[in-house]
Amino acid sequence: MSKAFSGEMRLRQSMAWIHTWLGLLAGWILFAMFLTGTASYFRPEITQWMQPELRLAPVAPRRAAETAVAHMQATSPDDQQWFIYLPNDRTPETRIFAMPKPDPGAKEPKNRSAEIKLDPATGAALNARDTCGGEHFYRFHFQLQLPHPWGRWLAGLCAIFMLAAILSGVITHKRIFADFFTLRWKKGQRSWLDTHNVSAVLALPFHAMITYTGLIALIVMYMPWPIAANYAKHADFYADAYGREADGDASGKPAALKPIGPMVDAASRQWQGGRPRTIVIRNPNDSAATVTILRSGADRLNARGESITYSGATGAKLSQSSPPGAALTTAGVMLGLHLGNFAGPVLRWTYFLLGLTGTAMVGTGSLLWTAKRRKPGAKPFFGFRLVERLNIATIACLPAGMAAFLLANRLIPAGLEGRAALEVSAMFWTWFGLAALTLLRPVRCAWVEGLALSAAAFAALPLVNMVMTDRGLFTSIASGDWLFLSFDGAMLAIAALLGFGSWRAAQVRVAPPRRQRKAAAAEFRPKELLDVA
Amino acid sequence: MRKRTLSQGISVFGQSLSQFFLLSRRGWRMSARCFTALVGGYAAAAAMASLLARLLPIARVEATMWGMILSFLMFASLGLWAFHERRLWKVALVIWGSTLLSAGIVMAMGIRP
Amino acid sequence: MSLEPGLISYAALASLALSVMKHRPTPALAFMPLPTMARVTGWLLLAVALLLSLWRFGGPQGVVAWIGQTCVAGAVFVLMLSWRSHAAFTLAVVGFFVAVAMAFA
Repeated sequence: MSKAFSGEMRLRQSMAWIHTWLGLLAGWILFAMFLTGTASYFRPEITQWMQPELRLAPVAPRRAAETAVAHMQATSPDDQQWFIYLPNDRTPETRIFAMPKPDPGAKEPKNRSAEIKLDPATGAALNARDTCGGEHFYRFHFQLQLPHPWGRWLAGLCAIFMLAAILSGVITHKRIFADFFTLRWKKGQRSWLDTHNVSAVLALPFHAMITYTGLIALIVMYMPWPIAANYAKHADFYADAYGREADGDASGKPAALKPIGPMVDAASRQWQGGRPRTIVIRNPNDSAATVTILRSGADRLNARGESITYSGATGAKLSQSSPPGAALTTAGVMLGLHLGNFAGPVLRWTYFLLGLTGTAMVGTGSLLWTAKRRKPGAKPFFGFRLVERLNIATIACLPAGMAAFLLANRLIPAGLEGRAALEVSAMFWTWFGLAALTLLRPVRCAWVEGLALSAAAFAALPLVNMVMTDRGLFTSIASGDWLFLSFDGAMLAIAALLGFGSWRAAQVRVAPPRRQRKAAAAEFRPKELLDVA
Repeated sequence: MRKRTLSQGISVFGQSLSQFFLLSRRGWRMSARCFTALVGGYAAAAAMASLLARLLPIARVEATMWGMILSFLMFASLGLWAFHERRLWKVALVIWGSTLLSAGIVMAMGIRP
Repeated sequence: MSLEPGLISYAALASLALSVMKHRPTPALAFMPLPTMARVTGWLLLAVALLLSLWRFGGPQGVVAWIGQTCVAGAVFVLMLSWRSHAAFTLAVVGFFVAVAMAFA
């Protein structure tokens, strides 16, 4: 019995040790990924909020496709690829990502163009302020504002760390069911441990799912090796898996692109009225041009809808996706679960709340680390001070940065050139600037003030919105503008949450009195979390 | 007698190298363990996933996808085990060994016909 | 507004909490079931929540919705339990009847 017992204990010890290190190394980036990812569940709503002048009527997919192609033909007919997102019930505009032809002389591939947003009825550029919208949070979430491919690799590294942290966390948690509902307040380290455990365990299905599916989302980039084992040409895998040739090369022979409308109709007919969601046109105006139309899977878990590929030069059908087998369905469902596009309003808010729980799990983990090692009266070691400052810089200052992004949208003049990039800069200047300022303050003040400023920034949003646009809080109530109303409500709720955090941080007593310290020392025998090294 | 001199020689060489890089023996061991867990773990997962994809007797695209999907679980598990198993030689042997073995088999078998 | 699965799950988790000696509130509630009874009720209510979710959201989405709403219900319950434990359990009863009303509406 004792041998088995010690073996189990040693497993818990080693898993606790690695869990701590994984959390330390990836914690701050993961916090940022969780927070911006959670915001991304409302990506189209944020974009709509950031273009308050826009009031677009719904348009049939065929019409939207035709106007989009007409616009691209007029502006940049020699591109390598056009990725066209047709409007849907949450996004009223057409969104296009164009990839210019690679310059054979240039050493590096050209960057993808910025997002092109069009009025779906006319194909003209939107008559609204230029902005990245919710797309900014979404892209940051998995690219971390770093150049391709480093951002995605770093995000992937943090994601695998997260997966290992979840596995080790579950193994090391001793009384996972007995402590299921335990949450004790005002007990210092023990409270942080409880909050970390509760936020982790109660939403464990979500956290495990979101982490694993996040890795699956970029699976071809993170794990292409099995493809190399089974396919001589990478492109054949795409053809098998998704029914289209990805990254086909241009032939060099020009040929006018056939009208897109009939292709959209044909696809819709083949899907018995199914709605197209995206159109990928590869090498337009070339004889090897392909037009792939992907079906909207908005009501299904599998994010990878069916697709049909037509020849751009002749209009003939080239290929179509075959019904996916178990593995492809699994991957598609995993992607669908991560994106949550299938979710209706109730489920979407559920996703949002669970995402916030995940953010809390990561944040409380880092806070627990410092709480455990804080010794009142003793000089903190360098690592401790570093972690403490990084905690403040991330947990207290990133929310302010995100609010600044939204505030900048209202404050920067609508017609200003390059305002979209300015909004993005506002987020990082505010985030890092505030983080730098907090270094000048003692730790406790930094927490209180940082959180208070973040709260103020969020609280300011409904006010600034009311002043700078015609879709303020009272107008929204009067006109039943649900989106703007709930946005204001959410901003105030977030402000309240951050304000509550700031208030609680101000309540913390710096050094407990003598009597309590003795009792606390007796209680802090580290039974739950053991450090080995 | 010769074996001991050889191992003594290696140990002296290793110690002077450690001193040169200002890393204690424990530091070297930990670095080696981290490298094996992170880089080796990824390599092992990639190689074993490729082997699985190559061998699974189902449709080619399905086998490939299953290998890819399961690879992350393999990576995370190997990485965790690398820090649980006390003997560093065992960690290195299992992780690098399975990498070489799996990759070797896959390359020897060639691409799926 | 398909919140019934979440409300029933909340009641289920409250019931499961009552089956654990540690979380039984003191002073005792007006109606305090035996631990075994509470555990059975809890699991039963979770099953009911699943069925309700499958009915409301349809197959696979129903499973996702059930898991998601149960997790959120758990978080809310734990927060309530640590703040005002009696209110947490009262909310469970109220929530259960609201859910029943919504289901039949």
